[in-house]
Amino acid sequence: MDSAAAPISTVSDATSISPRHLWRGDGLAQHDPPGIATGFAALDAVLPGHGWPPGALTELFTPPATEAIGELRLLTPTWARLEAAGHSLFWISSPQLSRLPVLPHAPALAQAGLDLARMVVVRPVSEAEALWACEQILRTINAGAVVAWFERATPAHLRRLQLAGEGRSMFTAVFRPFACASQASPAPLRIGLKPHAQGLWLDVVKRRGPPLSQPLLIELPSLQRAHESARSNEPAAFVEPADFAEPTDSAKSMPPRSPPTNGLEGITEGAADVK
Amino acid sequence: VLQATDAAQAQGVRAGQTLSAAQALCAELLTRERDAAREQAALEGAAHWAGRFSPQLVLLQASVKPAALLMEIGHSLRLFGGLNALCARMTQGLADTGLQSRLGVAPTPQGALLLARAPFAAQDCIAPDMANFKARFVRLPVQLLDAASGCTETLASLGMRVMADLLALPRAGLTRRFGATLIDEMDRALGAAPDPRRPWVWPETFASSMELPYAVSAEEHLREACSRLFNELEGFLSARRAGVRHLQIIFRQERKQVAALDLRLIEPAREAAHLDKLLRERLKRAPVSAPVTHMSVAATQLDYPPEAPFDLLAHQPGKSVKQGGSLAQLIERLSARMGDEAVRRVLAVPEHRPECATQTPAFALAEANLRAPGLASTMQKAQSAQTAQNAPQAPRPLWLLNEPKPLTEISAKPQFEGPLKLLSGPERIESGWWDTAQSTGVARDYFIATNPKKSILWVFRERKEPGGWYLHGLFA
Repeated sequence: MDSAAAPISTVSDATSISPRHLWRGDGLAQHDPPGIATGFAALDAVLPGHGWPPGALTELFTPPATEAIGELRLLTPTWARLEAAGHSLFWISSPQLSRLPVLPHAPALAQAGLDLARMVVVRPVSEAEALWACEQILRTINAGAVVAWFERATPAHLRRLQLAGEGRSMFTAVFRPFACASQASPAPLRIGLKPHAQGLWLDVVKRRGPPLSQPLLIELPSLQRAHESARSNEPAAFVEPADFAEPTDSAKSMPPRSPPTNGLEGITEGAADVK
Repeated sequence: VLQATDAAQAQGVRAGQTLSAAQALCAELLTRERDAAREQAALEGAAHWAGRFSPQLVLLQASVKPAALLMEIGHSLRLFGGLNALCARMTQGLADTGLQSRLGVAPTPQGALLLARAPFAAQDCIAPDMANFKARFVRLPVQLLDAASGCTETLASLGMRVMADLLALPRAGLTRRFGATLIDEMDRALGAAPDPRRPWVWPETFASSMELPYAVSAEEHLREACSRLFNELEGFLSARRAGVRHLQIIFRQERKQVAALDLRLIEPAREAAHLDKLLRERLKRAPVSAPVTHMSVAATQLDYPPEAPFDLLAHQPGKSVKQGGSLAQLIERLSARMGDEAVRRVLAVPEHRPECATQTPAFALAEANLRAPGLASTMQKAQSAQTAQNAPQAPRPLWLLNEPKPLTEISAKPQFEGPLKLLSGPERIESGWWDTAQSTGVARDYFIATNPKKSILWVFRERKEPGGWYLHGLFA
């Protein structure tokens, strides 16, 4: 009896002692502390720890020379929750963030539920300065959120940032161009973002778990519907119709806004788009 | 001659000699005239520095004997972890100030002064209680007494070498022979007579300067010199229980000003280490160009923040948890390196024109103007709550272009990296005639649009002459 029981007990000990520190390649890693909920159930389900990794980098890749696909609207629910918990939000808006000179727009931030009093916008003049500022923030602040845009950061830079934030619970999102997705990176979570009419395609490049075979569609709150409901609340439609070339036609040519049924059409259409 | 270096003493130069006698002994003697003002400044600098240990100080200016600083440390012992720890910190700190010093500890101020001047080993100069002190007092040479300066030779001829010899004599006879001051000084040292002293009055503002031994311009040398002044400032501030909000550092080359730095702080600061970090970032951003021989630090705006409660468990050794720093200190550091304008906060303005709805004032200046404790002051909370109610209901883009970008039109369709497709709209935003900067106001129809790359854009059609389409925001 004893000789048969001994090996079994050691195995069960090994698994019971450190379920959090032991990651088996076929399952999702457990995070300690648990992840920061993203606000999107479908995304939480595929992320280790059921959320963004705290105290580690999350790399987000955006298509080249394209902005405004909803990349920030993916993050605002998380930020709003962190700010409501009393933490600060840092935006490190690098000069090469966009090809257009842009500024954060306060009414939109308020609409997204962000607390402006807890926001700090850092505007460095060079990417080196942006990296320095990001590292200082990660070294000093224990919890909250940072978002930064880097174009030329090397894996060594990212490793510095990763180490600076280790042991804390900051949610650190780093936007980089799509070409960087093939580089090595110390970030435990790397996601490619692609546009979709209803939201975003998320292509999880790397996670602590088995690779995802299919991109994931995350539905963002529809801007058109918000716009329409806002208009219906207004007293009267006193605006004259825009005499822009066949607006009705263009509205018809929009993709049918049927509620996505998680059906195959949506995925195949999007997948075709991605390739 | 007041003092002589070791090399000069080897040639026979002694304190108390006349200058001509000393020069006769040593032809290549270099002499420096005594500068009472600078001596006083150095003593006050040391007093500032010592303020961290105790705010009760007495300054004794140098006469024939070196200058001295008397401190009441009885109430500070627990805070600094006992007498030995306190003495160790003082010795270390005094070495860093660049002054030569000796420490004496005794139950009475006069006793401490005698011990500090005593020719004993350093550990023998520390007498924590009266019994200990008496044992050392009897072995002190009689010349140490101030009252004995006029009659050293008489005392020597009487065979009086140490205090024990004097104590053995009858007091009445001693008083008749040498006056009451000698007996009185010994009584004060032994605690048998009252010893009132005039405590030093801390000045209202801090100003300290120093002269560098040679002209430097390298960042690390300047920082090293400045950190001495910051250490003085830290002592001064902790004695006053104050923090500094605005610090001015001036670098001079002889009389010419080379550079002046203003350090503004969001939260009143006291720690020299933090000020040193800020200075480092400032010097990295704007190095001092010319060699510097003098520097001065002035703190004019003092603030008296409520004292943080002293953490009972915070000073345990081996605490490995990563300590989070303060947000204000972080922002000060970022502003020091990148400039005040680079760190901003976002404020919403109740205004319907998109370009007027956001203000991004520099964080440090906004905070200094508000003068509110903490970062999220009640005033701003109220304001942000109000703007949340006033926020427009129609969706607004997270990024707004600094300037609306005119879009080209191809066959009456606006183009931005391909033809635009309108998703929803229009939303009319009009007027602003009351604003003098934009004398005529705006008249626009806003649409949410998308382009072939599937970017979601905020575009508008200008309703005034000459019309046309513009890109104004990005729904990122």
